[in-house]
Amino acid sequence: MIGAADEVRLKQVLAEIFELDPSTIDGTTSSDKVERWDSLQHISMIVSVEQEFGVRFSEEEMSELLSFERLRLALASKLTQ
Amino acid sequence: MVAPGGRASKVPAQLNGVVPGGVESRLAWVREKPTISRYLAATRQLRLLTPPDWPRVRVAVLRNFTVEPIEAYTCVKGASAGIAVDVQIGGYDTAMRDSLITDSWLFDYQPDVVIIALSLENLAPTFFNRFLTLSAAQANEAAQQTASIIRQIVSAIRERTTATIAIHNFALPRHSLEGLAETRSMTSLTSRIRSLNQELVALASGMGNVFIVDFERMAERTPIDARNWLVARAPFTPLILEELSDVYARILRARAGRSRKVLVLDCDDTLWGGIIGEDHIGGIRLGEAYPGSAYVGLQEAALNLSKRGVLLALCSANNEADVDEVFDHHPSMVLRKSDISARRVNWIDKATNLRAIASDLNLGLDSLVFVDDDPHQCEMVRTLLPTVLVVQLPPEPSEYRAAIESLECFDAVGLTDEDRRRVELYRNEQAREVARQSASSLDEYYRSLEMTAEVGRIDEISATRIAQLTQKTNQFNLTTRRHTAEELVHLAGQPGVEILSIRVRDRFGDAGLVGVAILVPGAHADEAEIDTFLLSCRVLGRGVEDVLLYATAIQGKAMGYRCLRGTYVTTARNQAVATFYPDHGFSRHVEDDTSWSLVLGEADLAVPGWFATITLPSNMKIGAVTA
Repeated sequence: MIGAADEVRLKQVLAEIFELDPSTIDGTTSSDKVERWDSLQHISMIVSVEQEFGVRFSEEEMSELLSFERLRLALASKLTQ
Repeated sequence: MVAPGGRASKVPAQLNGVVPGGVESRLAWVREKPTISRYLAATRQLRLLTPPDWPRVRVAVLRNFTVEPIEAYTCVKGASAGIAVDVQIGGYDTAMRDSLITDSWLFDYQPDVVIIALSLENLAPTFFNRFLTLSAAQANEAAQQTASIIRQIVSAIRERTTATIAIHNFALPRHSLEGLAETRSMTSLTSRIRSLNQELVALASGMGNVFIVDFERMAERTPIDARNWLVARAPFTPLILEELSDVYARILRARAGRSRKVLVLDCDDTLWGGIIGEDHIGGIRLGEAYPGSAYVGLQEAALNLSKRGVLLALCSANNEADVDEVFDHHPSMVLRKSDISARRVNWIDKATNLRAIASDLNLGLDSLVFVDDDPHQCEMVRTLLPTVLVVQLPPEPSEYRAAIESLECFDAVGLTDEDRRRVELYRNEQAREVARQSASSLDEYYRSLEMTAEVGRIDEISATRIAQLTQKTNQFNLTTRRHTAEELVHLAGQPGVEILSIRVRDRFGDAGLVGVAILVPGAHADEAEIDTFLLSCRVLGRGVEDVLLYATAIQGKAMGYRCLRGTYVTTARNQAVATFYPDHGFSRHVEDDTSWSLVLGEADLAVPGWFATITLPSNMKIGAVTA
């Protein structure tokens, strides 16, 4: 799992992109529940997370990372590598 | 169009005390970690924080691929320059429609800047992706078609708006299609895209206020994101977004009249290596051999700027005679005394000297760029004069030239011949100053100048210069309304409108077109409103404004108006003309306290007696006002 500080940073990025209150982001936050999480903002979010953590998601991951939970898991595997 | 304001140009670190604290802290937050998400969040916050007196610039983007993040980047970069930016992005791949149909959102939006960002891959997919399947004739046709589409879009926009137009040119293919043969082929994809890009330059050069965004060069330096391109047609990497928005910001600054005009140079360890007062003329480093060659490079860069119309000034702590000796006798000096428009070589602090230089040149401090090697001097100027752009020379001499050449703050919309002559004009101004000191009275001095003034109506040739004056003049400008040449030509054709300009010459030289007055129909039928009344600072204090106002009044009367109404719109820079209208016999308006009226025929307007000749357009006659 990613550390608490990284989790805060991840929530912060999502909050900035999707105009959310970071405290409302949890395991249930996903593209089908967040109004502004469309395909356009999705790309901006992915690139912002990549910038924030210095990682790069694969093409396959791009289309799968449609929830906070999945992002957190994908990030965890990259940050521990 | 663009509201007044006199704040600093780009370079965010400079903005302490210039941009309000709330805005500055948001900008600093983005700078600390420039992620797309921070740009987006900051843009939303900046909308609420933007001071109401900032100039607002509306930017429309016509595109055929995903550009969206550029909006936030452009808004943030605009805010760094004290400009409130609003961006509207057209539909995906509707650039043609957006510009050609009559009831398009584009024209309703009334953009100040239109950016045309088209991907060749989307515009001409066969040409770009399957180039080698095309015959030479087919390839040629595809290229011509592409050029024609852009020409149609640009012409349609130019016909219907006065916006600054910026066209993205096309990226070259990342890899050659034909191997080595590509390097020697005039008909390869690379060659064809290069000529297409040249055609865009030709298109821009043939039209007013059209620029090229060099995406070709940008994409060469930093490749697009292939993953995001294929997944979402979103090619811009964060790096490209930074570079692109810097270019857009440059256009915004020029559009908002935020260009700087003077490069102020330190001497020791800037123009040459070493301390002239200690090392003497034989000991300073300047010449063909390193490190002297680095200082030659810096001087050459400054010389090129001066040929573009940027004024050069010296501000250094030296004995004047020492500096003179280098200028007069050092064989490797590139700059001559005649290249320098103002100088303060003394032992007074640099902040005071910079103020004096600005006042010598009749310019604001926000027109100055100050170059020095000494971090303490730089810091002092940054602190005391936050609107001066400070360039501290980099640690390595080999980087000096680039430090000057990379300055992007000297752009003016529509460079005219007068820009190129400005250096010469200011030199004449210095000769005048000498004459002023020797003349026993001011009146006598003015007579000795043998000034001639010529008032004319706007025409196609003068429109660019007139527009430029409305864009750049901040001090002697009663309303600070910015106009483009296209707007002015259109306006001049309206009933009840007259656009006058004044040219001034004296025995030291031709000052060129230096003043503008625009009359438009006022609120009442018999009243003309003075929409614009301005004078270039290079002729301040010589009564030129009296001649222009006099001609304006005569013209108003000839057009059948009974009175003139003049408004003073206060800005940070135009305090000097706050009482211009009352000083000239206008009486305060009853309804509001920022406008004044003059009943034509009753007032006692006169032209100064020291003009050798005054020429008015044919239907005006001297003396008609008081008659």
